[in-house]
Formats: sequence, structure tokens, C-alpha cells
Amino acid sequence: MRRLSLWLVLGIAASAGLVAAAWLGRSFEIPIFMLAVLWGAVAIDWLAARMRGDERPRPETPHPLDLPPRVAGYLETLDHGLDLPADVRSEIGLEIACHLEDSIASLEAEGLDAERATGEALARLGRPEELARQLRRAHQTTRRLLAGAAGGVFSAGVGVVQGYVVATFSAIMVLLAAAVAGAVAQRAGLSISLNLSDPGGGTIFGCLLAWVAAFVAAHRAVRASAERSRRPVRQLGRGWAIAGGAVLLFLVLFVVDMGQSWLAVPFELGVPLAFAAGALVWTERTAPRLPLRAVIALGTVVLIAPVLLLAAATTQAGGWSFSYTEASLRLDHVAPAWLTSGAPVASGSTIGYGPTADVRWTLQDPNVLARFHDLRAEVWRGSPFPGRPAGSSFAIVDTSYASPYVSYPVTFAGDTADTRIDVGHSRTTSWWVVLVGIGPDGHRYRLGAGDFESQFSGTLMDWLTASQ
Amino acid sequence: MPGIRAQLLKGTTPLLVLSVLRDGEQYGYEIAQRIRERSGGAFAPSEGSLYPALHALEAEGALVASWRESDRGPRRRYYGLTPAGEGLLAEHEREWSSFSLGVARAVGGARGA
Repeated sequence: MRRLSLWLVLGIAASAGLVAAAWLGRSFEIPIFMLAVLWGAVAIDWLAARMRGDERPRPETPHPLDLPPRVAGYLETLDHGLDLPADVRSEIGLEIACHLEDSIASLEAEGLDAERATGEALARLGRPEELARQLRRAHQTTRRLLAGAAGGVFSAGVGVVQGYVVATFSAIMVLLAAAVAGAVAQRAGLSISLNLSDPGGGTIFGCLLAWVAAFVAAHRAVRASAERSRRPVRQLGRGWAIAGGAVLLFLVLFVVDMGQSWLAVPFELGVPLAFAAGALVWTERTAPRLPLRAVIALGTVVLIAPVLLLAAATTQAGGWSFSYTEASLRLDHVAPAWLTSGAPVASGSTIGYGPTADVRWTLQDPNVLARFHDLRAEVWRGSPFPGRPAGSSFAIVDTSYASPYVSYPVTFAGDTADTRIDVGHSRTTSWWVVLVGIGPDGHRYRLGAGDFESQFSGTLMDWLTASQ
Repeated sequence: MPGIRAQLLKGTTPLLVLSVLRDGEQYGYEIAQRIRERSGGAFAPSEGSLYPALHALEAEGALVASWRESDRGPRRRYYGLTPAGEGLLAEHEREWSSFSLGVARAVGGARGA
């Protein structure tokens, strides 16, 4: 209840801030989103704590037990053989110690000396290894194992949400720090150029969040299942690492559909590895609990500080420019150009950013096309423009290919020509769509061209088995 | 013949424990003493099998345990019967009556033959 009340205080404070902001006529979309996530995490965390039985009472030490060395040695051997969670071992050890204390006292009252009474009391209990084996079997029942599995799955789900919340907060803090650093550098007259663009950029960011979520989920699953099944965390951790890692690897390879690139591959494969790490590393420790002051400070920084700091910071959008000639695009590799009044017959534009796109050419003089036959749209692979700035998507025709990747018929209507292209599952992301046809002299000519950027979307296995 | 008696006692430990706890909550050492007294000193279950039986019955839901002050003063772990435990005790008693009667008849019948 104390932890719930801490979160309640933070939630109420954030709500009060929102009300004040609304009254002042300011909009705070980000704080609203963060508040919704915060309340969701509070509810799930409280529910998970209730399910875990965090309030289970722990036995107090009855009194300082004055045990002979032989008894202490017996209890130590018993403890090593129990292979149960630490709190269960502690409770059993205390119970057996109390039993031996009563037994020795009773035997001494019957007239035995201390040494003989201790020996007799230990003999009545039997070998510590056998006692540990029987106690272990009594605790590690099949019913508890199944309960542990179910509890572990539920706790893993809670851990996924908590991990995503923590990762999102952390990412916001990193971006905030970067924005502040950029603003400070700009005021100091420094110019910072940083390009982080990649076709799989969204996937990479999502995977980084998933790493934290997977790690926290595995940690919670192992601890919850160990507590319920009365089995040691290291034993269960291996099972969770293998099973959870295999499931996540399957999902990443064959199920989850997202933007792909070679840079995104290791980040995707890192998700099952993060789960395995969470199941094997630091599982003996409980998750860290932040004190109240730290929680309030963190919540204040995340919810309020970004508005203040970003309002003070300024950003400048920079661009790049470079010159090129028609020849440098290497479109002649496709076919020589047929120019009318020195200009292409058609100027093209594409709509779409996936593997499919709609292409429309606007014809300068539709009558020119009447002299051509076998008109079609050819899709040619592109390659990076030599010396182009980082992050630029401008490309030239890849001359290492002698034929187009795919061709499509063209539909003509008035002064426009349309087609729909689909580059399918190809790792190439830069394309040139060229309108070609056989001219009156029987040769093939290029009538118009336009570049097109595609994004590979599919599973990781689709990416690994895709054609170039 | 301690070996034979030990084997016979092994299967009856849960019944002995449940029947002793019918009289009220007791801790482990107390349960062992009470069994010895009620049998007239004829036998006492191995203390090494007592605690596994207690923990197994607790895991089944037949017993509930709690730490509290004992009549001697220091805190001990007390066990008590749950409603499920009372049902289990009745079932054990029925099974034991039927079993012991059958054994007695078989042995008596063989001796008579």
C-alpha cells in the first residue's frame, strides 16, 4: 500500500499540473500521454504485487539461538541441500533449529550430558542430506510448478509494460539532453552535424525499447515463477531463457512485420538475447525500488522540464545542396533519351513509400507518343549518388544491372500516363522508374523518368531471404 | 524389528499428524511428543519424516502454519487443521480402518489355517 500511495501522490501532482496548464490555455499533449502511461503502469504494478503476495509475513527470529557447533554444521548441510528459494530455506532452517533446541533440552532434562543429547537429537532427525531431499520434494510439487508457470507468464506481461514505460522515459530524457546540448552548442556558435537516418530507423528505436521490456519481463517472470513453484531462480532462469528466447526469436524472424535494413538486424536479434539476459542475470536480486523523492523528481523533470527547456532552445533546420547533370544520373544506361524541344516527353511523380507506389507521368505532347509502341514503365535499381551528403536519398541508376528489376504496362488518359509498381521484397530502396518505348526508327528510347524511394517492410526472415 | 516398524510407520505419518492436530494447534516437536505419548511409548515416527509430512500437508492445503509464542516462551511454528485437513483426516481414518481390518483378518485367517 505504501508503494501505491507513492504513485498516487505523483499521479495527483501530475493531474494538478495538467489542470493548471489547461486553465492557462496551453496544450500539453505529451504530458497527457505520459500521464495515461503512468496510471496504466501504476494499476498493473499494484495488481501484480497483490498477485505476487508481496505482503507475505516473514518469521522473526524467535530469539538468539545458542546452538552447538555440531548443530550449526547440520543446519548448514541441510541448507545447502534444500535448493529452495532463500526465504523458504530460512524458514525451514529456523524451524529445524527450534526443534533441535527443544529436543536437546528435553534429552538433557532426562539426564544426558550436552554432548550425548546433541548427538541423540541429531540422530533422531536423520541425515541432513536425506531430510533436505524429503523437504525439497514436499515443497516442489507439480501443482506449484504449474502455478509458477502461470504466475511467470502474467508477471512477464506486467514486466513488458513496465519495461516499455522505463525505456520510454529514458529515451525522452536522452532526446531532451540532446536537444539541450544542441541548443547550448548553437548559442556557443558551434555547428553540430549528426545524421541518424536509416530505412530501419523506426525498427531500431522500437527494438531498443523492446530490449528493456524483454529484460524486465524475463526478470519478473523468473522471480515470480520461482516464488510460486518453490524452485531456485537459477534453475528456472535457464528454462525461461531458453523458452522465452526461442519464442521471441521465432516472433522476430517470422511474425513481426516492420521496416528492415541491415543495421536493424542486430537490434532485432538483440531482443531474444535481452530476454535471455534478464532470465539469467541479477535474478537473485529484487527489482530496484525508487524512493519517493526520486520518483517525484523524475516525474517533474519528465512532465514539466521539457516544455520549459524546449521553449528556451531554438532549432535550425539545415539543408544540403549539390549540382548534377542529366548524364551523371546514368539514365542513358536504360535507354537514350527522346527529347521534344530539348525536354523529356514526360515528367513523372510517384506517390507511395512502401514496396508499392503509383506513378503518373504528365505528357508534354501526347501526340508524340502516337509514334511509339511497346510503351512500358521499367523499374531500375538505384545506387547512392557519388559523394552525396549523408542522409540524402538521391540516387543514380545502378549500372551493374543490365536489365530492369520489373516492368509494368502503362495506362494513358489524355495528357497523363499512369502505372502502379511493386518492387516486392527487395533490399534495394532506391529506384528509377523510366517510361520507355520503341520509337519510329525501331530503337528503344527513354521518354521520362522519376526516382522512387521504397521501404522494406516484412519479417526479419523476409529481409534475410530477400533478393537484392 | 525396528526396520519393519519403520516401514509401517512411514505410511501412517500423515494420519498420526492429522489426528494429533485435531486436538488443537501444535508445533513440530510437540506433535512428535504427543504421538509418542498417545501410542503409550510403543512407537514414535522418525523426526526426519515428520517435518516433510508437515510441509507436504501444508502444501496440499490440509494444514495452515504460523509463527507465534509457544507455551515455553520462544516463538515456534504452529500447525493447525484446515477444513480440507479435517476432510483428509476423516478419509485417512476410513482407509486405515478398512486396511487394518483386512490385514487382521488375513493374518488371523492364515494363522487359523
